[in-house]
Amino acid sequence: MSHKSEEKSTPALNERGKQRQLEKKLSGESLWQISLRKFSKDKVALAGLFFIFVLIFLAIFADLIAPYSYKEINLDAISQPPSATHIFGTDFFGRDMFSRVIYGTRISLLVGIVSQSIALILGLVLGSISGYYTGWSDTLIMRVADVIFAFPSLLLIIAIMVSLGPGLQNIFLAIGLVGWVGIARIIRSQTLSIKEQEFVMAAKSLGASDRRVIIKHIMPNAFPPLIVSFTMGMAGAIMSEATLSFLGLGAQPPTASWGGDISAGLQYLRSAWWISFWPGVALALTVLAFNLFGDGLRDALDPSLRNV
Amino acid sequence: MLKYTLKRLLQFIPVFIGVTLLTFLLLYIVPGDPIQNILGQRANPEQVERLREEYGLNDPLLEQYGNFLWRAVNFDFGKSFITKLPVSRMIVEKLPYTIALTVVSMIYAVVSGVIIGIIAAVFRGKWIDKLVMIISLLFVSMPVFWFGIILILVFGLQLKWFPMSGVGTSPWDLHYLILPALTLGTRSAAYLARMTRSYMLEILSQDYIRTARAKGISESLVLFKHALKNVAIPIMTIIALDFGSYLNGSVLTETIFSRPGIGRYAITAITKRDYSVILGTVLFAAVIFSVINLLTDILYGFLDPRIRFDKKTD
Amino acid sequence: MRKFFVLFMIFIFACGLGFSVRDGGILRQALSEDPPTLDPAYASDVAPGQLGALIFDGLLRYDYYSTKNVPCLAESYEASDDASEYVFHLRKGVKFHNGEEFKASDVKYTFERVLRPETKSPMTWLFDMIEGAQDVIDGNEAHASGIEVIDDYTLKIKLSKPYAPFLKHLAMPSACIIPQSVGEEYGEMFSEHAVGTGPFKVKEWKHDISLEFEANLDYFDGRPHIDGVMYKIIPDDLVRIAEFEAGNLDIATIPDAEFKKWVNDPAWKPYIIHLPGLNTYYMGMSYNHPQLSNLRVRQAISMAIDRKKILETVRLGRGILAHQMLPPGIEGYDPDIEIPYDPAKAMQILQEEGAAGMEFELWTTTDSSVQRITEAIQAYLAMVGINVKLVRNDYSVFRSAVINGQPDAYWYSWWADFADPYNFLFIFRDYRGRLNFDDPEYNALIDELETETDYGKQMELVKKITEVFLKDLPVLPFYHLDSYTLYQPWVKDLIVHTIYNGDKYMTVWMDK
Repeated sequence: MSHKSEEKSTPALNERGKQRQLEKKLSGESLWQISLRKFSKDKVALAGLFFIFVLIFLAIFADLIAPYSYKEINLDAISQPPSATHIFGTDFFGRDMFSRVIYGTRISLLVGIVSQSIALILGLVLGSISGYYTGWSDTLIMRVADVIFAFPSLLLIIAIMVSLGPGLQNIFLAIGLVGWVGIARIIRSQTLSIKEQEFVMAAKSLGASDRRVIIKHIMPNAFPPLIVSFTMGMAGAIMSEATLSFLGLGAQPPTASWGGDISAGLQYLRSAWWISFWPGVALALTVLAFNLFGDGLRDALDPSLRNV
Repeated sequence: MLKYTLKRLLQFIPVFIGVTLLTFLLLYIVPGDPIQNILGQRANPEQVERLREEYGLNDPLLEQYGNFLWRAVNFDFGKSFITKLPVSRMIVEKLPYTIALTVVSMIYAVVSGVIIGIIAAVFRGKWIDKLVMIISLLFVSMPVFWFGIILILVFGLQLKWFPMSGVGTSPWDLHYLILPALTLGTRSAAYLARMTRSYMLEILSQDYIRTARAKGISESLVLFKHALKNVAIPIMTIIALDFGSYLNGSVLTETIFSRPGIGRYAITAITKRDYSVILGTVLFAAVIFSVINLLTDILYGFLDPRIRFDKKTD
Repeated sequence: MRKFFVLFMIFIFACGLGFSVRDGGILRQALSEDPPTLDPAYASDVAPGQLGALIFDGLLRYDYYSTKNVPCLAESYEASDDASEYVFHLRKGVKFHNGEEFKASDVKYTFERVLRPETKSPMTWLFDMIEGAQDVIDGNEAHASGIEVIDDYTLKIKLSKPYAPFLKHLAMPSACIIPQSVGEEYGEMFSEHAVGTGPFKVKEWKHDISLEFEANLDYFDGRPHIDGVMYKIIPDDLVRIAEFEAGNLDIATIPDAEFKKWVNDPAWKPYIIHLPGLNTYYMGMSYNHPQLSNLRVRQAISMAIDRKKILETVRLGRGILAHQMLPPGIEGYDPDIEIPYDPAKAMQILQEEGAAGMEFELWTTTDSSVQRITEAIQAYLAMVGINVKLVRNDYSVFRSAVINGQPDAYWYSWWADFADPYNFLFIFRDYRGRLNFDDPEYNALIDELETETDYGKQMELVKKITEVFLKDLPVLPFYHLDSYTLYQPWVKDLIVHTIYNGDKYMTVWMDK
């Protein structure tokens, strides 16, 4: 993706644009190349990315990798400690914890991706409408955003979950419905600053439709902060799923979910530690990986975005 | 400035109405009948109908909302469907416990987070910096309830340093607050450490710091007089913005550590469908949270009208 | 009165003879949540009943060592032959905690308070067979004509129809007597000012923190040995048992997660009270479901699930396998009945009935142990080709759905209100809406049992009812859950009663 439009524009009004233009002039590389180069030097972030790839791999090929079914109950082998046959041990049903941890990758990634996609789409659409058209639609959308922002997020997610009932789809929805606010605010402020710039004015006077202006000119500029917000949001969503499971509002059994297994195994911490330990480690590492990757992305894409 | 403050205050009114409306509507669509809950397994339909009437659940939606809004403005959330106790009284009783937990956790998080952040910044790139950063990220990545239970088992049961449950003689009984505060504050501490470190690094690379160093001013003076002063405001903002995470965390922390705070009150009510208590606590939390945000904004404007948050000044 | 067999009583003697009972000490316990109320009129849960037994007295109470009812605030009583009229002679000189004397008018007030519509009590069913009670429930009358105060110490109760288990209702938590003056003063808020005649008085109730009782030294039956009871409110199971292990609690129940650890520990073995419970856990199967309404399909399902294995593994053997609604410990229990496990036959029946590959929704609560059971059911039924979809909801949502007859199938339990077979069997007559199960033969037999006062005939009826039940199999009984209570070595003569409000802590003492 390139930013053709920016070449026509006078030096950008906002700091970010100025800085990036400067870097670009100095190096002769495109902005994305700069970011990529920066990112490839960040070893910690690369490690995070690598781990995310591993997770995606595990999620896709769980059926091939997991030695046992995640839901098959074996009442002859309940709560067995880690051994050669069950390297992570078994849970109170005799289900293989290793297999459950592998399959749990699917749910965690799914929760992260779907809920953040909902948040992203809502945020993009509402944020750009709000910033582009201003007027009453802006007021309305921003007031709704204020209202959602006024709740401590977990409490609101719980309240929505209670209204919708437990279950995976509802987790997606609840986290997404609460998460779009931040994204919409980013998009709105981007839109506000960009739409006044000459290249947008020019495009408009040449008869470009609103939709085209938004999609072609405004969204690409808002992309860097969005991708960071998405990644960090993944980590948050995975954590929220665990919390909801702890409160009994998580994915329905026999689904293998890390959050569900951690909280179910929590009571066994002294008698069968392995039930909650391994999913706990998997969860912590995954959240860690997304945080590291997100940090690296932020530094690479735009160092001034520290507070997104 | 006054104008700005007034404007923000006025903006709060539609937010308040929105918050009450959203809470109210969410509860309205909640499945599960609170009346059925009160009456238990033996309820017969006539009894249910009578109680629905009694609690005003058969009134038109708008009327119910109007009543609720009017009472909420007067800090009257009615009484619990289950215990019959007035919700506002219970909120007042429980509030000190949540405040104590939040304040102590915050102090712990800020002090340890900032100190660790500074240390990491000073030793940038050294092993201590790397260690601190990785450990802090690990803490950010750990579920609160898991961490809390581990603390209870290790420091409560095994080492017997701290009590495992309860509150002691007052909401501020520190002996009982330490483990919950560690549980609630560690995530924030880790986050703050990372933020402090990066702000410090940014400022330490600024020209005037270099100049000061070149002039031969001692390193510690540079650090504390010049650098720290400049990171104070962004750090304060982060602390204020992170306030919501304390409210979120108190739900779990208070349950695990058997503390009678608002968070636990809310979550118990939610699982029991105690309508008036859910409405009261969720609304109360939202209002408190918005007021804190409002105050932060206003205070922030007073402190430094020039600073804009997401911007570097050259 | 009929003879009762003394069943499943647990009485722990002091470690050796020669120890003398000592007064003093506070018995420390934990509750998983703040009790919803102490008011007898709202005591529909276990906790208010258990705590209420300490603060209040009823006209009758349970014998500490059996499930027999014995006189308490009523010194004696006479019942008419057809079980429709009772005269109670009340104990004289009994004082409420506030110093007022207990009189017959308090009894009348207490019972009518439960019935009155403004009280909004869920327990009206306790007294609705009293003559004139329905008028009070409907708000047409302030007083029930069937409750007659003859003098301060004599009370006559007349029922509108003969009802054999009535006396058992009088030992229930909601039949505990409260003083009229205090009840009238505080109304709905009585719970905050609970006053009774019982062996303990409320000292302080810090909501969500602790509930403290102190001994009533003037109790008519002598003072309790302990000086008081301290309940700490601790929501987390693991933390509760950890507090016990640290010696901060005197009594605790063993959570599932650590069951083996404690039960197999020789050091703790002498300090565990194992008690078979008066309850039945079962899976209800709705007649609204096209295939579940078929008796043969229900039978096949009963054969397809290895209930014994589930009990022994998922439930860790914490109970007795159930083959009928009655638990052992209730008269009329028949140890010879068996619902067999035979998956091959189950498969065959399902094929014959064209029900192979059928699906149904099994509703459960979010409680973790319940979840595990239903997951196991799901797995067993999958083996015979039945696809079970688990629907998990908060208890309140679950309960509404069950009462409204919504689920295809649900996992539920019934716990005794009082120790009588009637209390386990009537549910299929009275709660028809839940399963849409309505067998006139069954209902008629329950009607008969309700009015039968002769013990021998009662047992015959119970036998017949159980036969009809097995013939219909509207629910599949799984097990009767046992309770395991841990106590510290210094706790002596502790009673854990099969009925939750059966003990008043009059025997327990602390050797510390």
